[in-house]
Amino acid sequence: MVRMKKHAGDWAFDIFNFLLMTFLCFITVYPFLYLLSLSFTSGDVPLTQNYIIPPKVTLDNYAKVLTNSDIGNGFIMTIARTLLGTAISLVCTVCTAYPLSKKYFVHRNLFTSFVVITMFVSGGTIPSYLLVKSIGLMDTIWALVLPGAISAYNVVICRNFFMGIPDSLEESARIDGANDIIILFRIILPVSLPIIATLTLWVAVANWNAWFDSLIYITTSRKQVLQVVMRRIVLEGTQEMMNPDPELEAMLVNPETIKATTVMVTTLPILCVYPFIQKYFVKGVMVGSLKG
Amino acid sequence: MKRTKRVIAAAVFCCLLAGVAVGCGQKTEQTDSGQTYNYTMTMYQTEPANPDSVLKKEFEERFGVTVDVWDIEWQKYDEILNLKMAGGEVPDIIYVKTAQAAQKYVDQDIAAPIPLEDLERLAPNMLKRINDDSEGQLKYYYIDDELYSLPSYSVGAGASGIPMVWRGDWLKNVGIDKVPETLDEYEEAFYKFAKEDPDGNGKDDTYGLSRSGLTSVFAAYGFVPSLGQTGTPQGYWHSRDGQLVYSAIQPEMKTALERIHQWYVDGVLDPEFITGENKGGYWAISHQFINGIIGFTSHGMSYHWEPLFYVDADPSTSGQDRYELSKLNKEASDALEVSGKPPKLTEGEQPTYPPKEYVRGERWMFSKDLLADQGKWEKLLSIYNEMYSSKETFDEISMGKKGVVWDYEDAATVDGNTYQRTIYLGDWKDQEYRNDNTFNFRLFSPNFLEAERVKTPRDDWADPKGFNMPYFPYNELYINLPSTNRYNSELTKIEDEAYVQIITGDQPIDYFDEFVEKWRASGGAQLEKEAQEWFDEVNQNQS
Repeated sequence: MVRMKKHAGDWAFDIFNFLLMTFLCFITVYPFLYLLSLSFTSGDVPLTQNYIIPPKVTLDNYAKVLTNSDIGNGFIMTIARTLLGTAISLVCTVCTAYPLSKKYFVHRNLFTSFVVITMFVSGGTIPSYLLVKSIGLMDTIWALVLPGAISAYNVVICRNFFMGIPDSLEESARIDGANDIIILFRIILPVSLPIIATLTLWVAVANWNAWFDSLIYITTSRKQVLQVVMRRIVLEGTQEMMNPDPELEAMLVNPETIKATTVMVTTLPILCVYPFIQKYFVKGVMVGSLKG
Repeated sequence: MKRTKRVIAAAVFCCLLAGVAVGCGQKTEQTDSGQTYNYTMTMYQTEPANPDSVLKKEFEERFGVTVDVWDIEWQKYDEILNLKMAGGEVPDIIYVKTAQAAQKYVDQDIAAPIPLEDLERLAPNMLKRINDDSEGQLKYYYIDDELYSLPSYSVGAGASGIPMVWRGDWLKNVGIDKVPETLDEYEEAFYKFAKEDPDGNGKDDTYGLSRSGLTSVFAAYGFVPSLGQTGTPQGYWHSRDGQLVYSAIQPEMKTALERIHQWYVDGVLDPEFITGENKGGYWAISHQFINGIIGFTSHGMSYHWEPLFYVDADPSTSGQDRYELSKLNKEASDALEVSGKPPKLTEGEQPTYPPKEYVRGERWMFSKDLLADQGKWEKLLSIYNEMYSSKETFDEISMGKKGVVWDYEDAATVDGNTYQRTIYLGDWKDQEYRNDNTFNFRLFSPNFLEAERVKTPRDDWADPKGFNMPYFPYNELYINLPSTNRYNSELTKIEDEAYVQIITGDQPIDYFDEFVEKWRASGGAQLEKEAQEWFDEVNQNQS
């Protein structure tokens, strides 16, 4: 390896880059840091000022939020839907994408266009609602995991990755007597970990963050997912949620510290998933897709 | 390629067909026609309704009915209710957020007209309360000559209004002994706040006022445009020589803007007035005022600035703005000067305006299905009738039994008086338990006759400040005009832009005339026409 000498211009470029990235990191992290600090702040500290280190640290906010029964129920529901939703979605996506990636699959392009067309034409909220209602999924967890089980975009990404795997792998397995199912699960999937990890992350995060479907399909308040509870608490007292009844308004608003704590509690768990999947990201998802 | 296209076309067709099939396949809901009626309803809620709430159980036993409250998140209320209605589910009792939505439910044949003779026959108590609170207010709830909704208002909390709030300690520091009353006195105080270092920190870092204070300045001229208002800003409509006119285009506003522009030039108006005083979080908090950057504000409502009334009250239960300020500067919060009187243009009597009516966009409608079932409808009216028969009954139904859930107790106030205060008993002391076990079936909270009503310290604090008097020019247009949705956001943008540009000097003061023309041409003329028609109609109906 040849060592390149750094010129003054290179240094300047590096320093500029470093400063720019630091700045970008800061403005990305700051809102989060602010909420974190607020979540540890005691309620009798002036909240109209900004702090990074709270003048009066307390764990009361966390105690209050974590003992809230709505948040507890929300956690159970969200974890359930994330696990179930991710599992269903991965199985369905892989099983759809794999055949579509095979050149010898009859009418492959036709079927692919069937999938792709849904990316351009969607049913809309009201027809989706009617569908879910008439097949009896209302107020069940299935209403949250089934309608979004297959995302056309994910199928296309996954298919393109599979297309990048050399055919010879499949041929050698077939010579050894493997059938299609065994080839997919024993040969193809182990070499497709990057795409599986990526899809898992995407789907899991989407499931974790989803709230609107829960809002319309879940009618029992105890079954609402975490994000619905979080939104309700955080939006209290903002202009969107202004109470038409002034008598009630002034007394029912949660303090900002509680709101910040709720955001922390609901966001941190999913944030912890990232470091474990990060390494697959480095390899890149789109590398596969370019070869399609 | 051609083949693919044909297949795609076929596929699309199939999908559409499937969609139609699903749409047609819904069952119509059957209403329970047994002896006990079940009422479905929606309402304003910040917390999900608890189906097993104690007060709800009591209510159901008392009246021999069952009630099913739908949980619909307030922020997405219209959207989700529409979905449900599209799916064939219509609640019996519908809480309606805006007059616009009310019109839609009439057009879509969802809501039924309410026969006035039914109210007179079966719910005379309720009708009497409505008329006692504001004579003839039902006229605002007519659509196409039929009564379609009932009001949803609350007057039990006492007077509230847009406040004029001064930093009393700053006034003293700059040598002003009397709280300003005329606009000239206001101006003098603003200049001193900006120039004479009222906080005594040796730095030139203070201003007289910011965005919300402008509302009071405009109000001095008798009109209230959207710029400066907090909460949900909307340009007000005011009556002027028998006409209903739009505030922002009145010539008086030009005079006001000229004055404010001068304040901007002289560094008296906070340059951040463009983005407002609230920097996030609870909407009614004025960060600029609390952080000691400005000395006058009209942010929030009067109850956001009220002091602690009772000796033993928790500090956090005072008005939110006052509480935030007290955490930062206790002396300043004790020295606040709050008033409900906007500045006067000249010395002499405080001008008055038509009183604020309780009419609002929010209202109640009743479904066609409910009114088709005569027995169910009559039962409902009889419930309302009993509910509004007296303050005791109303309190018992909406708050629970006196002596079990709550009671009055004598409590001493900071200024040495004693008032009857409502306190909760037993389990009900716990806020969370209360939230879980309340139940609100009421349509509105009336102002029970003086004799029945318990005076609160809030009344005695707010009344002398003029919050209960018609000193502030409030909006006199009580409905959404047919074209409001079409034009309003664009018009408000034009208005706010023009106002800000004139104040900052980006446009000369004469640009105001150009703005008025532009406003009218962009749909304002249509709104003016519709507002006048409504105004004439209402005044005609007044009997």
